[in-house]
Amino acid sequence: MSDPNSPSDHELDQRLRAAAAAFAALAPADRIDQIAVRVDLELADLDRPVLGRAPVETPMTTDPDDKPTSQSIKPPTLRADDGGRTEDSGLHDIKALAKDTRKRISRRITSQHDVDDHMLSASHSGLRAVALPEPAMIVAFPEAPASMAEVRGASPESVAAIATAAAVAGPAPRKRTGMWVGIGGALAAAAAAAVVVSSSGTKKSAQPVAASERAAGPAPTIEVKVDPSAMSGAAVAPDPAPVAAAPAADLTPVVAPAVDGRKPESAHDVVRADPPKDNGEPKDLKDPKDRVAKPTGGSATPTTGDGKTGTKPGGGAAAGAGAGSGSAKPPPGEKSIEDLLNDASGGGGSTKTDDTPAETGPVKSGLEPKEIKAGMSAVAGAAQGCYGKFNEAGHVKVKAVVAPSGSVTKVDATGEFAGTPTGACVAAAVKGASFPSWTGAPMTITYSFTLQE
Amino acid sequence: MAEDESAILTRARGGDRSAFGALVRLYQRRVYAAALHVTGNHADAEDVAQETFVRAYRGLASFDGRADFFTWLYRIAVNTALNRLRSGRRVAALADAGATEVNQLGGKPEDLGGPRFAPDEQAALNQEVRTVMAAVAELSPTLRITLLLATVEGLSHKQIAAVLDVPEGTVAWRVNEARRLLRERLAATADAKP
Repeated sequence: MSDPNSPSDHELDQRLRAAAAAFAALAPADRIDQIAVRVDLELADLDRPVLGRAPVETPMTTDPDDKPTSQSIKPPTLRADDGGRTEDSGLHDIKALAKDTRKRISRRITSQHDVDDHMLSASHSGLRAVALPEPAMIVAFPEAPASMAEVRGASPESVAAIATAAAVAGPAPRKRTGMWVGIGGALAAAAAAAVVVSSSGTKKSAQPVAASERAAGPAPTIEVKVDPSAMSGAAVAPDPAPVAAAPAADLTPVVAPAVDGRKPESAHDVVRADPPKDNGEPKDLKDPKDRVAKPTGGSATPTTGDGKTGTKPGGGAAAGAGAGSGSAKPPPGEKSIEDLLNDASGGGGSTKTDDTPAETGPVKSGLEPKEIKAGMSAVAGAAQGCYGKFNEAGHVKVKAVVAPSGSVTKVDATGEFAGTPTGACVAAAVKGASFPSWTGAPMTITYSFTLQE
Repeated sequence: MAEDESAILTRARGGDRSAFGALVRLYQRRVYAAALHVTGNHADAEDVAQETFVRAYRGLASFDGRADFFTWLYRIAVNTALNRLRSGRRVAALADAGATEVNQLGGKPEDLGGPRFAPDEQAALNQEVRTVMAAVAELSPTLRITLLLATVEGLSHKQIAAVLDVPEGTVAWRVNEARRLLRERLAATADAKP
């Protein structure tokens, strides 16, 4: 050595060697010998047609039994003759994952098409049920008007409301599914109409039947038949008595043109005194509960042009939409159209359309690697705690089956820690992991935790 | 032995995993020691050693045979260990790694792979090892590994240059600088003793 302090260096080196040798001797011999075993196991994992490396090793087989399926991610076998290209690059893993994801997305889209077709068909039916000027309904109310005078004293707006509500009830759905979808769409449109009306500050309205009233059942009812030819000056809608809306034949012209484009008649001008009625939205107030039995044998008592009504105790009418108890009040005291719409849509306090089977974005068909990482990271602390318990360091591999709900249903430690207390401890920690939910089959995830002091 | 290693290596490069296993068993202690020099603790050294061999297996095709397999393996081990240190996970623990590990010396004799000592000898050894390794742990990783490869592993400057991929002159400077710093710290420690 060229250093003039060579003797000192030599002494220092001797001291260092001795200390390093003693330090190295601390390593448990059997654990050093285990390195070969661990390497062999890891290489065996790499040769397997699954992702086998931590911490991104996510052989996401959708087969609950973890049997290799066509849906399994099968990265190319990492072999020495790959020239090192695959070393830690994750390239093949990512490609395989992307390929698999594409497959699953395409499957999902296909299945959604089925659903969409079904929904469209149902929607079509439902819309037709709303739009077509078919024989309308009888709206039943639990109580009869106090007197005919009250009926006669009703305002034109009340008449309009009655007409609107009557039209809303519409014909019975042709298909059950169509009915529900139609109802959903109708509620959405009703909500939109309510917003429009609310923003315009319009307060005139009539009040259809309240939900509670509709639910009142077969109480004596008044069936109101609205005569379009006389509606411009009519005042129908008793207060506080519930009113039953009129037979369809007379009523439909009031609303139907708004949908099918026919020229409005004079009655429509009355109905459309409230802006939203121009759009025909009141029809959307249909609710399954508002569906009423069609009049049987013309049992509805005709209403005269000046608002005369006839009573029919319990005759053929069920619950329905119509003027509510406050509908005959003068405009200042009337409920707004918003309230009317709310009542008609089920009595809810808001114009929510929660009943609609809304799409909530793309459906997840599995967990993303980052989601797996996030879920596992949440329990990494607990897994690391196993080192403190058993003082065993190393890579603990676990195989977890995750249900579509995102919960871990089964965990097993694999590899060298299989069947060991440390493995069981880590598995128990993983059992508490949670992941985002998805639609589809359970996933099997292989993950490894590095336990260290 | 060299021929044996060459034959094993040839088979391993041909995809014979059992042959590669033989190489692992042949070098696992030295690789482990090299990893231990860098990381300063046994747990990380185990992981680094394992990762080293896995990387080596994957990269066997890129090993052209011009360098010693052992040198090539060391290079992987040192880089893997340095990467592990740079990841930041062990930096905080490294400062007292020596002391921490040495505290186990004699504490769990059943775990020791080395010779047993009498209690008084053990105590003295503990103190000496603790002192020296704590001083070594204060060196930078590059100085530490260079010094330990030169002194403990007995590699030549040329081999160290190949392992660390630096010029031989850099190796010489690092060795001298490491010795200087180590000497200073050991002296300071000795002065601090009552």
